[in-house]
Amino acid sequence: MNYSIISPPSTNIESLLSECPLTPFAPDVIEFISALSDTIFKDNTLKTLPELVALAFWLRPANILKLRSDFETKWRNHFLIGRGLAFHIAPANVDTIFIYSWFLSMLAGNTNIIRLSTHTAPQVQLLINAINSIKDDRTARRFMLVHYGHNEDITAYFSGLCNVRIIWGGDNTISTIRKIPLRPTAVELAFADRFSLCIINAHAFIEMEDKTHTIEKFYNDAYWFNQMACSSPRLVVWIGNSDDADLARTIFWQMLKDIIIKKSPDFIASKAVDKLATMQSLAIKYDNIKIEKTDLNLLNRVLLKTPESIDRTLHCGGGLFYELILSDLDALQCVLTAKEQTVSVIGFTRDEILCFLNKTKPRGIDRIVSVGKSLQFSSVWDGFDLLREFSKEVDIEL
Amino acid sequence: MNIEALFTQKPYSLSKETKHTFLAETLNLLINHHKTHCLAYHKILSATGIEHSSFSTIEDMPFLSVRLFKDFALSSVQQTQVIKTLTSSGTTSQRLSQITLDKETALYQTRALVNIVQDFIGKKRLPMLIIDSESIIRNRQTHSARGAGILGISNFGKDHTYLLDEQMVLNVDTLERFLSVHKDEDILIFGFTFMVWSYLYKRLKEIGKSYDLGRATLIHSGGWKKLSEQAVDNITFKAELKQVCNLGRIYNFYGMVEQVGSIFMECTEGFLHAPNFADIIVRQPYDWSCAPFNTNGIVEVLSILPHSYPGHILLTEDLGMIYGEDTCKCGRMGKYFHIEGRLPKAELRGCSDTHAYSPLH
Repeated sequence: MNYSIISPPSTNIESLLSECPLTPFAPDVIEFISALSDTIFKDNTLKTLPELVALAFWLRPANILKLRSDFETKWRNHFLIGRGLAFHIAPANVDTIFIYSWFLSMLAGNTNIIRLSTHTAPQVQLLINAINSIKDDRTARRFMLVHYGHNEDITAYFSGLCNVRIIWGGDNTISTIRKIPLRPTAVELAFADRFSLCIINAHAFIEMEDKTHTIEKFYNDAYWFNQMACSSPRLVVWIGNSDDADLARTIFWQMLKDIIIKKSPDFIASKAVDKLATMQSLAIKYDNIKIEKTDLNLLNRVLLKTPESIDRTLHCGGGLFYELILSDLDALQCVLTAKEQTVSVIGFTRDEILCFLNKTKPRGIDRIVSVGKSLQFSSVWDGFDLLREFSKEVDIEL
Repeated sequence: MNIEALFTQKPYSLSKETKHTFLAETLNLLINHHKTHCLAYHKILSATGIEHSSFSTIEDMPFLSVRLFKDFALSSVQQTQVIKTLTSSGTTSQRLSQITLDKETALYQTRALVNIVQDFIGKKRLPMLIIDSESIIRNRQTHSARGAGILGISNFGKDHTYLLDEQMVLNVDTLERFLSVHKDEDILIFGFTFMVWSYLYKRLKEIGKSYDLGRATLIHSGGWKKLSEQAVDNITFKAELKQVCNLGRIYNFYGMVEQVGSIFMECTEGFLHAPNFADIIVRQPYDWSCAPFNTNGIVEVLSILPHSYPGHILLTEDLGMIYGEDTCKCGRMGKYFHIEGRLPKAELRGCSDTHAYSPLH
């Protein structure tokens, strides 16, 4: 089999297969995770990368121990154990997802094979170096990070060995990999293409004192992964009367533009071309849309007239925002489909949101978060409690 | 001045001021024409806030993404007036551009091409070799870019002789027969850059045959992507062909199925030139502002020929650099430039992480 092992430096499939499942939250595993957190915080390069700092925060002992106590409360009197070998197929869009997926599986008690995309960003290599620097032989025997090209035979090989397969990476990848059989007792988790939005209470935004801080959070949500994560906001829904919405929009986008210029995120020329094609395609397909003028191709906006014009497939990321104006929160119901994942919120209280959910019972939505938390990973993702899914229960009747 | 008047002039005759005024007037009319006759184009202009086109410069005019022709049938004529549909010559897995031509636009294309190419090879029809297989032009209603290119240039030739069989193998006997019949004449050779290199040059080198093509003019097009992967640039291309078969007169051109006819020919100084019918703007991707000369950016092409489809102002996905206007040493008026290849694709960092498993690969 022609795959290359990226980490750990000296491992092989045989030694990985000889390892047994553990019960959740084994001390070695917690130690390994906190060692990586330390390494990131102490590394002068790594700690300047916001995505990695967010990761390191999640990895720190306090958070892992909280996960453990939540898990233990939830599954008290149940006997849970790792399923065995987990095979993770990581996405290319969010460089750090593979760590969350792998570590939760490791915490659940599994051994892990992680297939990394061949198109990874430079910080992934830095992260791998950090992982390789951790001296922990016991945990190092229990995982393998691999790279390989477009080779179904290798995917089939790992799929035939594993007890749980995890597919990150969207609808096309899922449908291709689903054709490759698993062993009869194995299970699969697949993370489909999703769409996320930010809802803004126009009046509350206008009244807000610290607008800059809020918009910086929005900037992080939208621009960290070049607006390519499933939870990056791609649609902004303004809620309020049209005067408020117009004023709020003017202030919001001007301030966002200033922040973009200040932070100067990576600019990819081909994204500008993609966005032009997307906006013009939207104009052809739907009626009465408005392509807003811009002199900065990191921030493009299309004002839509109806929820039917929210074309989730055409959206190409890279700083493109669909906008929709609704008179009240309840009207949001007609925007939400089963595709919606994260709704980030500006200017609504928890009670207002709960009231909306109770009243309208929308089909979509897996997460509702304050602005700035869209990209925060949670151990419950797309409706799956990952720790639970990665482990199996031994039913005991004694 | 109008388009008719241009056909009676040399193709690089308009100096800067005249050309800009002429293009601005003509393209304003064309924008309004397509806005009236193509609903999709109308919707794009409305979405962009353009009600009526009266721009004073071509730089201010709205450009369409060339990609739209792959996803939408953009036409400004009734279906009954369509006499031909051109498609791009992509591989089977790619979506193809569809260009609808009526009689008027097809005629403009032919006449513009004649006007331009005659400036390089003269008015006489020359015996012509085509580095392709005849099968490519069999269907007369739908033409791939390759077929359309061949048929376009065929107007300058006679005794059209296709040198490749359907497996792209050079027919040496046919070549020898052609050369012995036309041994004291000037001849014209046309082919796609990659095919000339792979199926003519490489094959001749491989079989160790050497023919004297010293009286031939080679016109070729189709892009350098495949050759640049083999580290073959225009200079190497010319030098090697000169060496292997004494082929000295070689002209590349830049063109696309979305703007057939108003092609950008390479001059003796090695620059591509905008003819009277067309122009080029290089835009900076960060804000679409116009790049100054000698600065690279994304190429926008403008042509006054497309009446049956809204392909008059297009933003391509090619990178290029303009070196000047009206000042090329070859003496031709108009902007002169180089194409620097395709805009590199962004890493596909989408949740649709398909590149690992996509059927496209």
